[in-house]
Amino acid sequence: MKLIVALALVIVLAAGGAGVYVFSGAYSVAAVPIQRGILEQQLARISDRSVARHAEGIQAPPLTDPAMIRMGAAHYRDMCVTCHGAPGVKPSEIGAGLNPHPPNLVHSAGDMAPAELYWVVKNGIKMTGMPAFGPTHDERELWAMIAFVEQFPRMSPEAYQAAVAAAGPSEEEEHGAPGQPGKPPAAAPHP
Amino acid sequence: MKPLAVLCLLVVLAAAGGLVYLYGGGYDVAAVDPEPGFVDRALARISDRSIARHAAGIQVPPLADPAMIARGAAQYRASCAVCHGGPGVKPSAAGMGLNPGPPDLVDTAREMPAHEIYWVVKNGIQRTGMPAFGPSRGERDLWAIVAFVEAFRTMTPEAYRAAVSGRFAPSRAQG
Repeated sequence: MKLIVALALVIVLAAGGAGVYVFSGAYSVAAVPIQRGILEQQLARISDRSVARHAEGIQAPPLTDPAMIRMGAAHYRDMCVTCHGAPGVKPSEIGAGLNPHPPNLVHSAGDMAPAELYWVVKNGIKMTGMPAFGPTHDERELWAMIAFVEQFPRMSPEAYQAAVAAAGPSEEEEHGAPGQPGKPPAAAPHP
Repeated sequence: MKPLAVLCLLVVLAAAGGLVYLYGGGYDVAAVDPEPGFVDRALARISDRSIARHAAGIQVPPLADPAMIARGAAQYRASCAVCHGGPGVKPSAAGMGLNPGPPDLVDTAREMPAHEIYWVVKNGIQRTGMPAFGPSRGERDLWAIVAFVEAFRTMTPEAYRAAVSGRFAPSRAQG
């Protein structure tokens, strides 16, 4: 019983101390510099396990149809490349400034099963910069994005550029994206 | 000592149960759940207090200069509008899918002091979709963005659209 009391005391004191620390504002919520501490690692692990468990039972359709991949290329260019980059393309300042960092999909596409990638694209990840695209994109479009990302481990930078160029114009207007400014200006004007 | 022992046991069991729930994958990390719960509100409060404390002492330059606001408009369109939208303009699909959601900056302009907005734009907020723009932008651009957002307090949707298309008329912002 002594051990239980001691353990409980440690838990209560740690929780109390953490509460005072964070609610006083002493803890910095700044996204920079990026932390790679124990807490971040554990949150990533919790997230991975949650995704694995909640994506159980999702059946991936065939993902090699060229028309599907082409559709995925258009959506990837419009919704994903800003933060994740692509073969030969670095993330923008928006992606680079996020904490946690958006994963590099060229390297991590193979780490996750297509069903898990699909779950993440559809549902997003709470408390990260990953949005849920399920409310704005249908099943066909979501799986098309997965089909495109699945190509990344074998895709050269040239092949990526060719794929997005051949993908045709944006379909995002139909998703009600009036805040999307379209192509950002090449350089901000300097008055 | 008996009630104390029971309480201690409960604390330990609750902590252990929480860990099993989290590490067993039971907790749902989906961003689609729209209703902010108790934890979300607590995290928002922690974030607000952290910002207030860490931004204390930052000196705000004059923000009413039309050229500065016009510069901020260009930055805003390129880096902020996607997720935050603007006066009369909704966020994109990406912005709407985030959890926590990006705030409506008209409210932010009215409720948050300028030096805190500057701190957030510069440093970002960890564990949200708000990036740090400090590493990629100079002081002048950061303050220009703040100046543009401050102008949201009185900016009409028409004035906003004109501003991000490069035809800003600050005098018309008063409506």
